[in-house]
Amino acid sequence: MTRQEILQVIYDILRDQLELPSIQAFHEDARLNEDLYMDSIMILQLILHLEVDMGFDIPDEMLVPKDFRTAGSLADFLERQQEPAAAEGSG
Amino acid sequence: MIKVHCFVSCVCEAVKKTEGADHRPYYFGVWDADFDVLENGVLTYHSNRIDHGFFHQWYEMLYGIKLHKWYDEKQSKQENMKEMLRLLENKKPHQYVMVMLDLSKLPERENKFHQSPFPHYVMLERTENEEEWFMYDPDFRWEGVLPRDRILAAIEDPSAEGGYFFDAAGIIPPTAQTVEAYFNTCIKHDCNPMTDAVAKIIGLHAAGQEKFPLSGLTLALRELPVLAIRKYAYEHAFAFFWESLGYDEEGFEAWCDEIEKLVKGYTAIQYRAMKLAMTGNRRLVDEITAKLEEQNILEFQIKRGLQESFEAWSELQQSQNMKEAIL
Repeated sequence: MTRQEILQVIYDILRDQLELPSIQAFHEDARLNEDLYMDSIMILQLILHLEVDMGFDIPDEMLVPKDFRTAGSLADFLERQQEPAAAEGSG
Repeated sequence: MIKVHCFVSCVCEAVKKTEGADHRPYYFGVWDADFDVLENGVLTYHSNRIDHGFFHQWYEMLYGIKLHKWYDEKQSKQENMKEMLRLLENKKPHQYVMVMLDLSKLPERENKFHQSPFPHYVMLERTENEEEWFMYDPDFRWEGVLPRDRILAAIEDPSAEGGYFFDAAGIIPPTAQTVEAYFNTCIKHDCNPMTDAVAKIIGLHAAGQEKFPLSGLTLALRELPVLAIRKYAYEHAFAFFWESLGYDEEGFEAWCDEIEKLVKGYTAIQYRAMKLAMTGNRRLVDEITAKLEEQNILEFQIKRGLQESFEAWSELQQSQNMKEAIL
């Protein structure tokens, strides 16, 4: 998935699954907590949908990183998760 | 300091403002502070079965400040608000008026937990402008001016019932004996009540009873993050002993890493429980049970490490007392 496609998936989950009231504020730089008013449980719900519905592999220790601060940083993280070998430089 | 416990943070504000008085020992009671599991199997940090009697009593014993509970549950909300206005009207600079309000009614304030309602203690002061009040929220390290009517509306919410008044003019630093007694009262080496409660809740929902469906787990553990951060209270205790003992910074940082691991461990448990609720995959029950066991082992280790530094600190106090007696 391209980064743009990942951002679209995040947007769709927030709109359709979480029915986020602040969805109109969604953009790449929107902070999940401060701008989209998502609490820690909603962020976990978003990640859960990304893992269960979309098949992203998200290890437990990655659950509360700064990677999830904005929609864009979450997309960056998911993009890297798709290419573990390249990210680790072991290819 | 991040949010740990609103009642404790409010009364500590006066201690922090007093030179020579240390607020950190008061946090000993926070890592295993009271919570409740409701009849429907929901974990909660706030219920009518929880009062702050323990912290109330120990605040007075540690710092010599008398806490007056001005909120009377037997009276109407309006009567209680009248009493609060009277206290605010006559308040002197070293006096504090604490009140419980529903923080979710002030959405511009804090949305990290997004709880609604969000019963929470803050402190109030009047300003020169009759329409505005100054609000201290030491638990979230926030203070500022808000419209008086908005604050009153948040206090009026039925979810919020409580208020204290205290005068910090006569504050006295705690003696080593009182700190020792408090530590011994707080440290529980044979159980970690919150982890035990989470295990019980998982067990209830995994048992297949109609009353506790797997799908209910997300709601049942919704307030776990509010309770998990109470474990940061261990950091205050380590810092207090470490400083007195002159131990190295590295050792302290190592304990902070373990405490951080403990707090994050609850996020992993919550995530797995939510996954269990969403997918119904019962294999996750074993994964959660294993993680809970890991949390128990880690927290007991932290408690043992703390006990060792406490004992070293106690010995140091005794030897200092002996020196003083000889001199």
